[in-house]
Amino acid sequence: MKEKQKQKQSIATLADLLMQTFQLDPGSLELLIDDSYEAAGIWGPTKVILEALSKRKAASDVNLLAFLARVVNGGATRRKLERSLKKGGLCPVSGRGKLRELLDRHDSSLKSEVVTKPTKSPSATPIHDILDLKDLSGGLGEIPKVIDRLGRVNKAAQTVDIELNSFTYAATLAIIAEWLLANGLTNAYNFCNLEDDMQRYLGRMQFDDALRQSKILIKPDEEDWAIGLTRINKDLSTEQVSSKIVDIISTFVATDKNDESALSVLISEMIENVHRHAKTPVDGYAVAQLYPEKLKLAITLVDAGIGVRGSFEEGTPSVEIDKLNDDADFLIESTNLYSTSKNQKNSGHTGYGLYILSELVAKNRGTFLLTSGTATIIGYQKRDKVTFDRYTHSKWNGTIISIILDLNNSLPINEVYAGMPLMPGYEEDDLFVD
Amino acid sequence: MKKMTYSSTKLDLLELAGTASLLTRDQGKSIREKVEMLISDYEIVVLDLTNIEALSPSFTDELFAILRGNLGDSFSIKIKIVCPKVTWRRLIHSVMAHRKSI
Repeated sequence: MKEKQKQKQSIATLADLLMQTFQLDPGSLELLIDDSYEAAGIWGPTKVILEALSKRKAASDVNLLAFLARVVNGGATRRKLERSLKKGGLCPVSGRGKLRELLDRHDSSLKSEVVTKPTKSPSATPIHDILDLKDLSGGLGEIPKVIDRLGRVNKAAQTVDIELNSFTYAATLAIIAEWLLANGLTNAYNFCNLEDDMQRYLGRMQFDDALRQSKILIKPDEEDWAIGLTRINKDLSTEQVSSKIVDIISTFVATDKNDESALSVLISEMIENVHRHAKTPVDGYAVAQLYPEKLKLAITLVDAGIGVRGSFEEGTPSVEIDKLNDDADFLIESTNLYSTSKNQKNSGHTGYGLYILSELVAKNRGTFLLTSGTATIIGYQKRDKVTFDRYTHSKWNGTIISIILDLNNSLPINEVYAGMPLMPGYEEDDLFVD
Repeated sequence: MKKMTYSSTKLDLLELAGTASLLTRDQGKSIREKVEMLISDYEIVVLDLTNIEALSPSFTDELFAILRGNLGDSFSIKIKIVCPKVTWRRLIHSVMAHRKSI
């Protein structure tokens, strides 16, 4: 995994250099890389790529860029890269100085990194697999199945065909996107046999854009009453995402100020969970979808971080984790206030996010899903108590949080706050003034 | 030379944050740092939540609870809060009580 991350980091660094040196925008760079993939297969032999690129009539710089990104992706050394370029005649005299400068900068930025070699012989046919999600029925209940299917995809797969039906849930798209991103397959997937409406839906949800651009703006889709796949990283502020989601909801549904405030708190705590707790080396994804006929709002956040169990094991939790039997136990425990946070005096992590989420969603008579490791729990209010259904599945390296809110009901965050405990004997009545 | 201190100042958190939604730890940290810069100039600093519309536990922890930890015993003398919402008072109390206990 570490090697993969290094490789991805290497590609990202190189992509930045390429864009800067050749003044390309991210979209153009991605198109060039796509073209070379399409011509030769993602792990195709160098010779095939050279031939394919040589046939192109585009400027040599264009070929060079695509090839360079491809070779680094495949784990080339600088020597091999230079030799291949020279042999393929892809680097004109005028471009060599530029290339050398580029490589020097690339090398110095990767000083300590080991560029990995592909695990399979480059002459082998790319390993291919299919992610079959045609039988899904939509809703939160499909998520454990999706994770199981992802777990069944050949781990060595270099290209993946994805089959979806028209009921595919927005959260599922976010999960697939995160999986592709975390496994370095952002340029190696293909949706197959899609019906027209699903094809349009993928476009509206910005699936391709969200995978291929590390920085995207949130684009609320008024037709679909949705916020398409939105990358969550440090460049996109929590306030920006939460305010956009609240804005779109309040555009279509008459919400009162209290509910808007509660929604802001809920979404921001979910996103903070990704920023602070996930410690993810890979961006996360958020997606939100409004279902106007049912007056439901679904919000999903996905990350590929250390996961819930990892958060417990990394800190000094207030519970004895030896007594937690499986990943589902960890998930349920994480919804208790302060469960993960004992003795973390200097940490910003105090375990509010999942507690607020579970309490608030349950009081709204909504549903929430939490996935991490080999377990998923789906929680809801039953006879004034939060009840959990448990599911087991293939391992998800990270965390998935998905909620469905009932917009017929309020979001009583003040009730949640009013129920928060005080430490025995703790009073500070002089603190507040009028 | 003895530094001149003023009796008190009231800080409108809406003005200080530039938004009525106080949600993130980054926001809380930024405001806490501003308060800590002012604290030696005043005997009392009043933090006014009157114009705030949304307050999250993470923000509350980052501003109030960590400020309390940093200031120690002088916190209860130097910091006052205007908070018209009773449930937010409970939130602030609860969050501060928890951080005090760890």
